[in-house]
Amino acid sequence: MNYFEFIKILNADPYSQNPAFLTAKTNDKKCLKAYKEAMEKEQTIKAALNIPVPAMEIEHIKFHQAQYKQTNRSHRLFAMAASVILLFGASLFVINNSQSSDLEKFINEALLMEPAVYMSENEIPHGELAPLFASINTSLNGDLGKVHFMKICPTLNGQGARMVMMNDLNQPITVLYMPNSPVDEAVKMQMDGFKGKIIALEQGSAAIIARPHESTAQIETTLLKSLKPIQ
Amino acid sequence: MSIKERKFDALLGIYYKDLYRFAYWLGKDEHMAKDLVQETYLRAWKAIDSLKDEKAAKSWIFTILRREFARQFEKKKPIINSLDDMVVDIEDQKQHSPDELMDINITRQAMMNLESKYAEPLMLQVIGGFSCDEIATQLDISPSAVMTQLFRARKQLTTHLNRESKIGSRS
Repeated sequence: MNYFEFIKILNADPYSQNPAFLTAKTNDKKCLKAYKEAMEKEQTIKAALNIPVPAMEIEHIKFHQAQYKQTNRSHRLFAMAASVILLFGASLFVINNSQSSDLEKFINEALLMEPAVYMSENEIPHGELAPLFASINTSLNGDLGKVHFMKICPTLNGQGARMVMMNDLNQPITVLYMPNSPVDEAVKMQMDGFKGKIIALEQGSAAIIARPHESTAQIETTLLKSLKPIQ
Repeated sequence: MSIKERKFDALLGIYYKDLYRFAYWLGKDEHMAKDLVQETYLRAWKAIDSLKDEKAAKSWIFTILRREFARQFEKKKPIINSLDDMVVDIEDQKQHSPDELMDINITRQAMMNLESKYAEPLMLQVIGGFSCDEIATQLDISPSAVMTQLFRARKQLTTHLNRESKIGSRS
């Protein structure tokens, strides 16, 4: 391999294991010099791509996986929740153009992106929810009620949580908690076949989505009482 | 702990950091990266029984992430954040001189603007540690096309770095 052939490979693939490339690198001083220079630049690229990795995410992944494991045992609950949310997704699609605010638009998009979620059979223990909320700077004050699904997810401003909570009649209600998206007062969302409400919390807001006959008052009260900023 | 769980934990332990970095540079957004990695691992858990050859695990899970990104990207294009939003890594500051840190930041900025057809092979090579042939298989293009894209990616990053460094040293 001559110098020019060596450089051609070096400029694209400095990690090449091509035997002729490796031989040239070892035996040809000019090639070795070029290799050393290229690897200096490569160290900068490596360091640039080597961004900090949030450690907490491993816990979220394990939590998410554990929820899914539980779900397998509960086809009934999954079917219920999925049908609610799938229908909801479809109905939003129709009214998507008539949204008045960025927040409402975001809520629609977020739920359309992932219309069905897997719910766990049993309610998630408070002890498992608390660290997830802590990761989004929220403390749990008292009992949040029956949460059967929770996932940390992106929101319009930073991270939030998507949940499925059971109301007092054991009906699954979708909640999107957005700790960095405050609203001045409650906003009723326009929906076809569903009711949606964005409520103001001490920290940020939460969207509560349900079918018209489903009661959400108790969930609203619980959210207001339980979700607090970490002091 | 079942074999399935052991396999999953190994995938999480070995590839989590690389996947997160890959996801970050794919979507160029921290929140999207977190979500992508979560979804990737959930999909991996669901399909883990189909992973027969453990040597193929790395390319298998990177492929899941790439597909999940394509699925999400199809529905919603990410908002590209500025690098100012990125948490400055204290380790970076300990390990590098001020000049090196400046070069790293300039390169990160250039990565933000690098077209995905050039950025993706570069990330697979540098973050994933894949060879050109493996990248070609993953991206379903020829090895020579991978070489061309890698060459152009490095050239663009270096050009940007040289230009910005000159501006920096003039001011």
